Amino acid sequence: MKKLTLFLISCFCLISCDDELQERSNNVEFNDVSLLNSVVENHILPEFAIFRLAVEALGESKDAFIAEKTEANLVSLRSSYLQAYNSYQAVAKYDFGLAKDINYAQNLNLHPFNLNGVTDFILNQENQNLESILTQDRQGFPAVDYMLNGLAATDTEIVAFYTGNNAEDYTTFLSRIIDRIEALTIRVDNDWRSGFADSFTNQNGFIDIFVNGYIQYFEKRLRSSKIDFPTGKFDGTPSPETIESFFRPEESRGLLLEALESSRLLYIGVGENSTSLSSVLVGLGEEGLDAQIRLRFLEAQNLINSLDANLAQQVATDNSKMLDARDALQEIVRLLKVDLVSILNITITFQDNDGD
Amino acid sequence: MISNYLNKTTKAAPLAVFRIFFGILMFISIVRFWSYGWIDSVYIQPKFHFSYYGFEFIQPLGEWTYLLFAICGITALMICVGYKYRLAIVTFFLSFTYIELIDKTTYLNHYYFISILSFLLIFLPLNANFSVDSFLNKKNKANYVPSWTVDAIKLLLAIVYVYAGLAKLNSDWLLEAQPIKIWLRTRTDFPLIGGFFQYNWMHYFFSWFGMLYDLFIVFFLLYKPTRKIAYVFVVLFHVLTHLLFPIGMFPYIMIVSGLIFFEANVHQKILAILTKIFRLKGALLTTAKTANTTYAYSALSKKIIPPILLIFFTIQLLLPWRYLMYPNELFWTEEGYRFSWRVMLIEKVGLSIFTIVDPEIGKQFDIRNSDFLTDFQIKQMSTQPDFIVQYAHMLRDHYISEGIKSPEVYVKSYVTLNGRLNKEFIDSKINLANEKDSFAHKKWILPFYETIKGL
Repeated sequence: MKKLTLFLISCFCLISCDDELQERSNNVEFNDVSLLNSVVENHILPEFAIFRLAVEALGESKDAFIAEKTEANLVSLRSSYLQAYNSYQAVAKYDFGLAKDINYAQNLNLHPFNLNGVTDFILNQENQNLESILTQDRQGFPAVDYMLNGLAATDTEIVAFYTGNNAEDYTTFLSRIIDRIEALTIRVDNDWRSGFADSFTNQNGFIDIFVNGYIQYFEKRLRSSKIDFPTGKFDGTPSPETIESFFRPEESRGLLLEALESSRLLYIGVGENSTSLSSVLVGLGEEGLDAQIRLRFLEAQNLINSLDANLAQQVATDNSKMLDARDALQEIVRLLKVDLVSILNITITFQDNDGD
Repeated sequence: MISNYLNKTTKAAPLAVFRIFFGILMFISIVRFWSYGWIDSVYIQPKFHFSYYGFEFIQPLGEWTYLLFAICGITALMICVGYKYRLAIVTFFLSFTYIELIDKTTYLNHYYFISILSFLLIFLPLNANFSVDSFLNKKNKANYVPSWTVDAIKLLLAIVYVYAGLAKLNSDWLLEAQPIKIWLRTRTDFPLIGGFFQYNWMHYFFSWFGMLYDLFIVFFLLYKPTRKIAYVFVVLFHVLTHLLFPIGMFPYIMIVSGLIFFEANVHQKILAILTKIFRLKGALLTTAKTANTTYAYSALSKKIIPPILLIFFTIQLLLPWRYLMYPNELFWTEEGYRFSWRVMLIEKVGLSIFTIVDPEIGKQFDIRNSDFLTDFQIKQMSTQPDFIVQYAHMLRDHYISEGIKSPEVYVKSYVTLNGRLNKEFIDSKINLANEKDSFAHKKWILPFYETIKGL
């Protein structure tokens, strides 16, 4: 036994001595709390604050339009809507806590929206139940898009819907869906500010929830909803009508870029010395992986920038370029879902079993 | 000499203690599995099960799976108290093994260990003493059993430990401290020693210690002067692994199994304590009448058991080496990986995207794995080629039933192994619909391009 102990100790001495020389970065401790704290402080709270302001502005523009239904007010309402839709892209990532419980993301941005359902809702106010899981596709930004851009070809004709025979119905529905966006946003924002941010940062296991949530957002809602479905990646038949902002399709690429950039910033972190997934990887000595992920983000951005601003148009003229952009996003998914998850030792499935 | 050895006897107490703890731990395992809802999520929810090659006739039982678990749990209790032992252990072995064979997604070395251990126990007189059987039927009661019955359990444990140790003699484990490094350095929140988990020397310490422990612990347990201290190591080692890694009941099973190495008087003390705690009749213990009786195998048993166990242990000794018959890196292809006590050796994460092509109209599309598999199955499937080809065949059959005449199935698959950057895993130009699953080497696994030296 003594001999063995001696042998053991000498082994470890040899190894650890040898190792002191090589040790570079491993003295940076991987600390979930500081990562989650930085995610909350530098991303979630400020991005929600910006979005909340944009949504409140949208509400005001809507009120102004209802008070005075002019083309000028429609244009201004539309601009508030676009502002809000763009800043929504940042908070869409945070499907945690109350946001997850109330299906915040599905209520705000399920596309393609359900045209027949919306028409039915407009004309039969007594049916209007926006709370049901079945009516998520009749509200949110896609429905607002329809109400502001899709009713007719020209602004004059659109305004006519709010002043004509069914003016009351159209106005009420527009008002209700915008109010609901605002109400849900205020609830979720308040949830973060009234304690959830704390539990998110300090409770055990949230690192797994955060990383899984981030990757799932990137794969399912950024890549799939915004690109895969229009290209027909999952059924072989392109369906351009599924793009975001269908009635103002020239905004669709912009929304995608907004979402991608905000995902990239979440990965690399903002501000000096802030902890981010990127800095954690570097701290663990995984500079190579970190550099690859950063590079892939930029490549994807470049490819998407080279697409037509109108993604539906791009699908129609040259779907292969869409598919290239899609593959570039998939490269990021691969690095996140395989390497990052492995290096950070993230539990992937919560239905997990014992291992050995 | 062999017949001499076979006639040697030893006290029956070690077998009784082993039986009691084995039974109760199995019962707890079943209850635990049930209470976590895993019967539902692992055996009932999935629409598709990954059967073991050659065991495709083992079918999932739907809601009846609960009954199977119930049988398993009840027989575990019967084993514990030693009631109708032979019937109980045979039924336990069959039901437990059936459960394990339903879906290899849940394969764990320790489930395999339970299966083969319970098979071995069928042939051992674990109810000879301190059991309901021996209490009800005094004729069955024996204070001595053939020595080989106790040694057989020791031998099986020795195989498990030593092979687990041998498997650690590779460059990833010893020279890179992988995958321990990955697992430890994200656990710096661990009480007391967590702060050290960020340091490289700690990763090497764990790796080397684990290797030496596995290789040598059995010998220290066999050697009387070191036995006690070795057992302290057994307890500490397994408690630590239990705290650090999600390995379920395994540590407890090994801690309790390790008791078998102690002399009979230690076991008699344990039995005496149990007698006191549960106010059992002293009669369960040795009485003057039975003091010198030896368990007698029937003539038939004497004839068939030795060859059965000889074959059993030969298989156990040879099976882990079958990987040598496959080309390419074992950790990468996992051909010949299971049933070999390769425990905690690899940290793998994979991503597999399947594309279906309808050659008749030239249409192609990707599928979503979550439409067919559970998250747990997706995770296991993505890193293991035999799962990938089975799944591809399931997809082929599914799309044939959807009206595609001869669907082609391709996969883009990427895997990371022990902290290396992900690499393409499966040849994406191969139509997996046409590839067969078999024990033969799967040529469509892409090369690893690196060497992990060692066994």
